Amino acid sequence: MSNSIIETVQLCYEYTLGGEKTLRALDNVSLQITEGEYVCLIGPNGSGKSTLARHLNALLLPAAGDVYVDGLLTGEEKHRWEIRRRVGLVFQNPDNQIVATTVEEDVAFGLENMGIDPPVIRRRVKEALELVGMSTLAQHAPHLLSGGQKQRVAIAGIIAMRPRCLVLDEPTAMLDPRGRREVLATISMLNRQEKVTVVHITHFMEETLEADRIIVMDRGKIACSGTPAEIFSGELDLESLGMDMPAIPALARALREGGLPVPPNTLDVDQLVDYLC
Amino acid sequence: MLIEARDLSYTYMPGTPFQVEALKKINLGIARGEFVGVIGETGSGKSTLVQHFNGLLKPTGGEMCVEGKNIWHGETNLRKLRSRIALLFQFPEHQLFEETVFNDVAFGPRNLGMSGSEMEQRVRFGLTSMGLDFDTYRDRSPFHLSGGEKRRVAMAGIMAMRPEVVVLDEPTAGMDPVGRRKFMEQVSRLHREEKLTVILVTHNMEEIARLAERLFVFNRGELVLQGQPAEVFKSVSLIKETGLEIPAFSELLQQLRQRGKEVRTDLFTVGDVAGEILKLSREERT
Repeated sequence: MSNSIIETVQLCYEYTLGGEKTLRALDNVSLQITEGEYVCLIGPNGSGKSTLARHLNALLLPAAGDVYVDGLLTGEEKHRWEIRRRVGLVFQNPDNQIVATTVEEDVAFGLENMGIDPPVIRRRVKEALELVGMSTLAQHAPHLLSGGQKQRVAIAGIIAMRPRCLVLDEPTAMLDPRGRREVLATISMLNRQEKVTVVHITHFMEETLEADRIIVMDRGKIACSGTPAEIFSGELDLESLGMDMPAIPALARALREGGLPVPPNTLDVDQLVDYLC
Repeated sequence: MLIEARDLSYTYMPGTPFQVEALKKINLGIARGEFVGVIGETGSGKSTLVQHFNGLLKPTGGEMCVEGKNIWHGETNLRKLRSRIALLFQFPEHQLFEETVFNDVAFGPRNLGMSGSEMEQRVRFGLTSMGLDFDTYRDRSPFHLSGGEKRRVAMAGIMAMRPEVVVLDEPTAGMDPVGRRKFMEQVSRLHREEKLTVILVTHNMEEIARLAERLFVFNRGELVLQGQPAEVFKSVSLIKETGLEIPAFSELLQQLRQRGKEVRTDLFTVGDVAGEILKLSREERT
């Protein structure tokens, strides 16, 4: 597919558990992500989400099958650095991702490693910090920031490298409600305004409602995928897949069962209030 | 009051340039058998507060009392206090260390001097109290369990001490929806059936609104609000100022009221809220 930024073809991966035992973490996963798309990846712990994410920038290589990033095969060593520049990965715990003593040095770290000219670095760091709303704290020590701020610094460090795709593995799991809101707003802005392709892994169903597409993983396979309205229409048995319904879609389903024909694409409070009033 | 803080203050590293006033003159009480929630932003003082309840931290001002007695006056046995008021830390699975689930859960009872069938009975109670079958899990290695199971094993180790109070500091952080639900269902059942006093620190507003009888809201080291969830979440602007969120169902019901619908606003479960809205729509039709 020409407009796929990421494509996996019958991707398989196994972890060795010691001795002869292996665990099949990914089982024939074929998937295409279109340039500019916002995809959420959900599924219970152990369903293969993080393993899949680590294949998208060649941190892990397939045991069988292929992964293409912008048409480049991750298995080919000569493409690896280019792939990692194009697909940036943000992890769960911001404390494990911060390396420097000031915010701006931290954001510059990746660029310095790429051997970019200092004036260009300075400009890109400034732009990246502005994008995530952290310019005023550029000189601050990262360890004194809140969780949400740290995570936005980590995102800025990736954004400064101008990736075309951002893969975030539970970026809000360690954050309080304000931190979560800040990070989500940043992700959404990068996607809508800067047209960065986003792959966002989360255990919070509420966070998936803004996505273009939700992919549900189960035991190493893609169990189903669709728009938030399709996934949360109440037709799928998400509970048996280890997932939950977000609050408002769950209520809408209960109302339908009680005889009130709430449209299946009712996802948030405002939509439901408008329907009821 | 079972647990009571009186003008309790706590300052980290007093007298140094790094001095931080983490708690400022806190007054609060928790009765036996209650399920209370403690909410607030990261750094608001929640975790510092709950570490005072069993004497892990000593107040730098004011008093920490259990059953009316200041635990830092006279001869409170802190060790005994900690088996009555047990604290489950964040990411408790990092503290699992034994070769079998049985031994891990038995660690506390064994330290209390138990052995043989008495100890086994405690381990059995601990595991079943967290919904883990004794015979299925006893010989398994804690390190080969799923994340959710590990955390329930850690909690089983606490329950095996037969505490009167459990303090849970973000017990479900990082868990998947099913793991979260299973964990909280067991805690909720222990509260109902065993009259366990539960103090839950969490960032999950939907969950705490549904489970807790009373909430304490912290902001920058101060207790800014307390009351039943329905009352607390009516203070929309204050809650938002403290960086927290209103649960979706509260927001929905409050907005419906503002638009002239006669609905209760103190409901937090899908079933209750759906029932209320269906009742309203039936009334409007007739």
